[in-house]
Amino acid sequence: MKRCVVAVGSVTDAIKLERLLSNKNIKTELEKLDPSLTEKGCTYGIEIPCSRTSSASKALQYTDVNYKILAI
Amino acid sequence: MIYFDNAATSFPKPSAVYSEISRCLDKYCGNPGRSDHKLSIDAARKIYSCREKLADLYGFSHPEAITFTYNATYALNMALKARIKKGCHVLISDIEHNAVLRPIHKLAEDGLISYSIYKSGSKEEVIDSINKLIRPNTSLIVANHYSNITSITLPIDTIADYAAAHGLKLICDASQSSGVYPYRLDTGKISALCAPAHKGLYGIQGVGFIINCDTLSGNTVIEGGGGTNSHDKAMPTFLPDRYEAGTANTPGIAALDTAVDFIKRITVEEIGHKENLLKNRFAEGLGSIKNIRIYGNVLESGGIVSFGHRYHAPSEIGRYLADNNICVRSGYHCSPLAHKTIGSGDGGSVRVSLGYFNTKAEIDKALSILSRYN
Repeated sequence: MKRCVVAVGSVTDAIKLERLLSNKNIKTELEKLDPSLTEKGCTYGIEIPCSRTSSASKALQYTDVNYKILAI
Repeated sequence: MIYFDNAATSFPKPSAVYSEISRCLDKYCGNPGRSDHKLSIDAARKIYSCREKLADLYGFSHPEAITFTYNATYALNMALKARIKKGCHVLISDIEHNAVLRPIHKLAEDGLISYSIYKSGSKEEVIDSINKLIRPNTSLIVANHYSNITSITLPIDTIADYAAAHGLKLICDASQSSGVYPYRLDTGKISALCAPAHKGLYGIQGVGFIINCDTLSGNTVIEGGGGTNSHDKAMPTFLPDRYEAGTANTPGIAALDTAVDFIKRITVEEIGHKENLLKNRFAEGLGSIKNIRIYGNVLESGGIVSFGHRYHAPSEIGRYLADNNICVRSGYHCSPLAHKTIGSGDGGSVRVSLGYFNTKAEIDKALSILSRYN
């Protein structure tokens, strides 16, 4: 089953974005991502419900953290 | 025992700090930012929590720009070397600790930079001294906010205004002022602030930090793994990962996280006020003891009094006090520049450094014991 993940560069950024998403009542789960998902190797992400990707993008619109929402 | 060596390491710690170290080791001491399991992620969350609390304590909006190190010396070395370019001129004060003097001196010996030493004093005296020393290639000022040997302080806000007006970077050594001075770093005038956990913040040894207020991604001193971007041979360009190679001291950072709660509850202002009152009581009593000479202006901020004796070396007094279960530090306190500035002479001084947990009764007992020393 398809999962949706906000992929970021580090666990610190992941926790930071997790706070922003949780503040908007978006259910989150922090996880280490499969390294093959990124060019540079190990990284972290936040799983969100695929039905909430638009809300997630809106919640993160002002963040200075680089992120990508992946469907995996 | 009476403990008056808080400028070296504060003791005791708030009881919650001891409990949290034990809880960390027992419940969540995985390797932070490395794995997918609960212990690793919980450790990372605790470290992030500490970044947030420190950011709040220092009036700074970017927790991720706080990088953890192993003490203030590491922090200062890293902050300096990230902000120094070949050929630049650096200004350091005449009360800097060896944590600044030695790396700056080494960089100068290696022909990479030059440096000058500006005088401490009133706002006007400090700026006048900096004005006389500044050169076209001056790019950085370092300021030890509170001296580690006396109550001498530098006018950090004035120096910050000057640095901002002249386009200079400013590194603040807040080793002695942290926990007693209410910083507001969001003004952006200080480029980086460095401090240890184990002094006025009531954490434990083995943790320091840099608040990279300029969010600079500069030169690194230590390179290695950090749990992210593993295929990249270069360190990440983003903070805090750029400066945090290797496993963090999670129990130490957890201790600091809890210690900051304690400080916020008591308040920085109240802790500083209490230390000042105790210091003034001690200095007043000390002034009436024969043959004692107090160094520096004890009326400035900070809980430190340095003194000497007309006939006895500081090390003799330190030993006498230790024999009477009073813990102080004698010698040069890794600050030969500051000792030269205060004119303490051979053997340095005896330093009494007070903390929040000291009491008036301890001050009075120590004075009584000192008064019997001939």
